[in-house]
Amino acid sequence: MKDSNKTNPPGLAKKIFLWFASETWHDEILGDLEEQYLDNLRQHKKWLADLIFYYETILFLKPHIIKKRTKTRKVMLTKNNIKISYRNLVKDKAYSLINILGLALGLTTCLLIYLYVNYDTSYDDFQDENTYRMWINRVYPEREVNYPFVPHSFGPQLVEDFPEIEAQGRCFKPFNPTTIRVGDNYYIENNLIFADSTFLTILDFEMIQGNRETALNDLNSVVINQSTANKLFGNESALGKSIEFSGSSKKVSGVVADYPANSHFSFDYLTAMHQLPFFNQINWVGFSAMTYLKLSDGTDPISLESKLPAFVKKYAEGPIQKRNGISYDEYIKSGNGYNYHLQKVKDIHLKSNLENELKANGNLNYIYIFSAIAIFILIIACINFMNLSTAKSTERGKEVGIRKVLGSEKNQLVSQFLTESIILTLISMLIALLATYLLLPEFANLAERPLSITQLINPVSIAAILMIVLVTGILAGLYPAIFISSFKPLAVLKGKFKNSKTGSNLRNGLVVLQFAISIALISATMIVFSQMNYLLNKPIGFNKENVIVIENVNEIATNQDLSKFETFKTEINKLPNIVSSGYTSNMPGDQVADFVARVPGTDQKESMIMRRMIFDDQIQQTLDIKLLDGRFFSKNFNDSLSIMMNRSAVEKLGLTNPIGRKIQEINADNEPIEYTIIGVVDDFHFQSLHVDLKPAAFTYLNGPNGFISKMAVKIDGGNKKTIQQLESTWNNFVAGTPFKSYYLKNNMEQFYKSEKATGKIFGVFTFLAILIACIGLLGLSAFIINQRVKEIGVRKVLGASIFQLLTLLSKDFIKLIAISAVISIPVSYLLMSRWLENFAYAIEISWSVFVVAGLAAIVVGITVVCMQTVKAAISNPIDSLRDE
Amino acid sequence: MEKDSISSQEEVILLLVGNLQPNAYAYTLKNEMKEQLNRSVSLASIHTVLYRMEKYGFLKSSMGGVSSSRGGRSKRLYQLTSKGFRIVEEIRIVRNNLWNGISPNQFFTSF
Repeated sequence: MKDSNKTNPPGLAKKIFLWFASETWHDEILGDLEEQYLDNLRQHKKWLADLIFYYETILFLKPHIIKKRTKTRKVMLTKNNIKISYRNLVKDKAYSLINILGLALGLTTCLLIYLYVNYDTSYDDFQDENTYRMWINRVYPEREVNYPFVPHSFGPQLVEDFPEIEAQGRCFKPFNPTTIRVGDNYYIENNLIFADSTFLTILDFEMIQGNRETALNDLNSVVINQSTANKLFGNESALGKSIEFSGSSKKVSGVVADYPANSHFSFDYLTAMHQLPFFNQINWVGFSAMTYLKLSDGTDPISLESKLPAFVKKYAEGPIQKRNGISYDEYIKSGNGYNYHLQKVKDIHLKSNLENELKANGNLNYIYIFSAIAIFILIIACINFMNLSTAKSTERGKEVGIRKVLGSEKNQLVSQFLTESIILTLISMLIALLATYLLLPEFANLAERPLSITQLINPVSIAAILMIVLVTGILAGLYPAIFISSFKPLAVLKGKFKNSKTGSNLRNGLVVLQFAISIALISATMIVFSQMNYLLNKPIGFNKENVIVIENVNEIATNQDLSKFETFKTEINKLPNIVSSGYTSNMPGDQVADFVARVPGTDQKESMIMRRMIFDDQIQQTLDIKLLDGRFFSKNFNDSLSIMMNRSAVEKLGLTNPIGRKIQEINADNEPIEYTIIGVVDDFHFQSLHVDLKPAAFTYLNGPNGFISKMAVKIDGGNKKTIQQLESTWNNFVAGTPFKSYYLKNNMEQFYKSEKATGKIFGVFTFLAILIACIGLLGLSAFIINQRVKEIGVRKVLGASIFQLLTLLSKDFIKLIAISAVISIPVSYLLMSRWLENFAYAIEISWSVFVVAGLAAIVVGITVVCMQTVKAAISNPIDSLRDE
Repeated sequence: MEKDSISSQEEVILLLVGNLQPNAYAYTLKNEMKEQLNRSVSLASIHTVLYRMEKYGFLKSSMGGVSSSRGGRSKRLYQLTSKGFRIVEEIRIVRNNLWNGISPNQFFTSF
């Protein structure tokens, strides 16, 4: 055998030839080819001879040699195929229903995920290709931050210094909401953005009224979007109308269509940036403005980026030296870095994750995960289809036998079965489209995205849907088609029906795959939910229960007159149900300003950046912050130059005995301010648990730069009435600004909104995957039991009990599910540990999760299998043994 | 369709068939082509020419000559028909007439 193998031409090439060439030519051409091959073997190496053989064979692809395939026969067959398919569908309605519903369920899931992924990847598709935004990777000796803001003097200077930058536009969004007045109506607005006069020409805006070139030229002009125009002015034309901002009156100089929701940018009001005095000062170091650059055609952003360090050094060297007292190079050497980068506007949403974006960024990983889930669910659904069809095939064996006896060729049978499966897929797709349409509002709500079925109406999506139908139909139908059509007519007609070993191995493999996916999804869902639970219940160092936060309290005394604040607080404390109340600049969860500090007298030239909040004397008891050392702020002391710190700050500064030590606040413009440490509080999480605890300092409200914007009120029980009382007290003090408040606890939960939504979506998909997998198991167990029906009959006759039969039949399935567990657990463990790395504070993955997931899969599996086996086990053995 | 002119490759194949008769089939033709004209052609293109020439009636073929070196497969052996012979002969006559009009000297003096 081995010898002949050495001298034989490659079999595959021969097969290919036999396949494409018409039979009349087979003998002579193969003869010529082989003769040549033998001659070549004498002269060349075997591989070369083989290669020549392939080459020469392929050259025979000529019209007169290729097999003629008659077209007319095909068309007639297809018509016939469709008719037979229809009859088969109608004949066994229960089977068709399970099959169609299972597939429709899988397709619906896919469509929903497609809409989700399509929406998230469409962010800023409409922006100009050449528009980039600057961002900074700021490296401190002990940490790094990535901001979308850069110093505001950069933009114009970049345009001046680099000819490849055509234009720039900057914008800035203040932290605090603004109150505006139109006529007698007051509105609190969160989405006011200060922007350059060029801004409307940099990003893509659709102007409805006004001129984009000039609309923001005037300091007293404001551009609003369509829905704001409708809100403020109803149906009247907004252009030229005036809006009262605190302190100034502005004229509407333009109306812009509402900004697309699938953009990183959003605004309600745009007004000129230069009315803020800060933006008229030179600034090379403070990160202050989002800066967009329009590059000329063909500019390479990477080479432009490489020129930025020199630019930064040229302009920022002086100010950095002045602020830190050491030279720029020394400063960089000590572990600091200003790494400026450019990013395509389109990449902002998915490919970057910067702090303080206008809108939360998406997560590319979720896009990948969801796409993978969609594909997996589709695979599971296809597997079901295959299993159900093969199970069904026992009943169609006779049909196939008769067809074969009557002269049906194998490929005719295959095309019959493929037609059936494509028709089934098509019906399922139609149902899935309907289901998607009906479920979309719910799903959009869950995913918190304005998804719409119209996203499907474009050539690419329609082609994709048709492709899915075709591929799913062929994928799901091919195996059963080949399996059924290869029956030996004599055997099936005689009633013998044996199954091949490879076939059952394949089916078992498919079940293992299905359950591996299901178990992975179950455990992932459980981990997501327990992480959420952990985040929401983790001790955060203060008490968020029963705390109402009143916003905009700076409106009580616009000049920050402390006595006025004091009277308001006294009034509030007089109300029933109030435990205590305190003022602060920021509440946990807000943006917190930076504070650059240094220990005076030490050799350490390095200053440390921490966060600073301003407190009054009662915030500690209101929020239940734990004091570790020293004392809290008090009215009995003069605390204007006192400072408190959290434990991380004290540790990072390396102070062993902090009380009484001095701390300097470094300021770009002014002389350093010296504070005395009076107390240390335990760390508390004033930001989300995604980020590590940061060093923080707290100063008293009458200290330098003291500013109050919020009041925390602790109540002794959630009571709607209390809020009303707070509001009426507010109205006695403040005219014009509406009362605005929130529960601290609800606000903190906002941090984890996206994880919560993801968790819910995960849960839904898991449920669907399990449901689909169960349908598959149902089909498979029906198939296997069908094959063993005689065996069961014989066993019963010989005295086997129902329980014995049940164990006998379920044993194999449990084995399969156990194998899936073994495969999926390590994979899901790895994936979920990576997900948990997103959190600074994460749970440990416990093994119980996987035990529960595995057990759940086994229980579900056994239930489904038992439903089938019980039926077989309690049936009368006569029925199964009678006919042979 | 009556065909009265053939390409030079077709001419060569017809002549080679005449030479190799009765052992003219695709593979021997290919080898002969290589040997006599030093031209490498694929089996497939030889086959195509043979097929075409037979269709026009310049060649006729019969199956035969089973040998073990071909895996026991028979060959299609080609023979020139009288029509085939006439067309190459016509070409030869025309060429000869043309050659007679050429005096070699007028080309070689320019060297």
